[in-house]
Amino acid sequence: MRLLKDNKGQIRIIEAFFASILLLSSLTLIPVAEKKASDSTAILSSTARNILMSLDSNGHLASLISNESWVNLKSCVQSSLAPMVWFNLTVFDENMTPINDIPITSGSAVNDKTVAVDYVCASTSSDYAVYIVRLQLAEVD
Amino acid sequence: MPAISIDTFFACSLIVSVALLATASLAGTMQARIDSLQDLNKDDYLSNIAEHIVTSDGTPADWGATGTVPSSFGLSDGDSSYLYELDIDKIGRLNNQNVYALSYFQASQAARLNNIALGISISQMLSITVTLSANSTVGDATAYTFQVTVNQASGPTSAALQCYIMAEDYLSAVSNATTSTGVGYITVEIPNDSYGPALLIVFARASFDDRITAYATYSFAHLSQEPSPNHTFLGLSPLNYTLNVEKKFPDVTIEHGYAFSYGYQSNLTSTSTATYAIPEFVDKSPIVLAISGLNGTTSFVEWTAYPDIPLDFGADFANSEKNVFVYTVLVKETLYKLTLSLGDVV
Repeated sequence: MRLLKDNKGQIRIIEAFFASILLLSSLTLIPVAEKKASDSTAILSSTARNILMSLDSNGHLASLISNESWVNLKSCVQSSLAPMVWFNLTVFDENMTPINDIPITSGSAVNDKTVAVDYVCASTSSDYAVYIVRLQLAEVD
Repeated sequence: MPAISIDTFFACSLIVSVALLATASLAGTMQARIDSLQDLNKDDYLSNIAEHIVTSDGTPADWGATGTVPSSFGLSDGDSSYLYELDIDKIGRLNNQNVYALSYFQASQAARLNNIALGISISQMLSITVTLSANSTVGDATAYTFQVTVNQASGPTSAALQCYIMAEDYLSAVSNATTSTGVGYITVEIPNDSYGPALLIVFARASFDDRITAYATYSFAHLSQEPSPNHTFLGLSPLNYTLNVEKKFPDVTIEHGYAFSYGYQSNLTSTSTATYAIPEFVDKSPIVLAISGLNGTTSFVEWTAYPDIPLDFGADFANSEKNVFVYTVLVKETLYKLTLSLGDVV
């Protein structure tokens, strides 16, 4: 009977229980570190920039675009990339209207973590047309 | 013992246990975040080192052509207007077959990478495989048929083929193309009186971009015993458009020297007893330099390429961390793939 009446200690256990729940639930507020996403994104961006700049030597990229050689453009990008990298290339005119009438891609996207790099090139022909080339890359999982 | 004391003891134990657990969990999470930040910093750091090696000229800017040891390491061609164009001679000096080659220690010191392993690999954009598929005697000559397979990174590709065949006192050229399956055939006829070692040099140029041009060689015996491995009789070191020839045996005599590219071929002109001028072909193609000669009565045909690609330089990273950075680069208007490998930051 004395034990049943003496319930101050039980209240402490209940208090401690709620305090524990509060403490543990606060841990869920700490965000989990995202390591790999940032790494691969930076490397893919660098790769995309490097490929576009190298392929544009002597105005070759703009020349392919002026001639609408989309298949050759796709082959050029494909030969510069590892097979495990997905790509999609879109060519815009100066009004940001897409001008490639066939998709220049290695297939449908297989990864949400896609990076896009824009590169501006100009035709060396007399019309000096300006093109914006957007190269999207993603790693195939 | 009163019940309140037992309850208080349990309550305290519970709160202390949870507090310890929470602290340990927090420490673990924070450690993971710190590690992640360190990795990000490390990747950024290594990426910048790789970019610097590819895009800087080094000091002196012409350390490739002059044969000096650089005080700072960079592979870029200072005379080029393209960011990712490498110097043909700086690359050549990474090949250990070249007498002007840098040692790993010299390159590492110049790159200020005292505690980071460095590996540099350069490959052609097309891989060419040559196999002898048939041979037959046709009158006073022997006909050889070779299967040439051309692949790019994503698989087989169609390419134009330009081939040169070099044997004792005999030189000819033949061209063909591979189909979309990447396979093509080349047939050459060599007179039977030109017996001895023979060398087939194959250039392949991608149909979609003439800057993607690669070469391969195939040594074989023409009515004779199998040829010795390349560089058995001669050390061939191209630098600054001059080929340095080092005879490895006293009885070696040189008979002919040729330079080949996709579109051109030329005799090598001797500028001294041990050097030949390399012609500066206006061609988006590597140059293959071939020398035929005799060692006593044994004839040989040896070769090197300018730029000397493919090449592997530096650490092999066996059982160690390797951070890889891949670049598409130009060397004399021809595209190549450069792979820079850096070890873990100590």
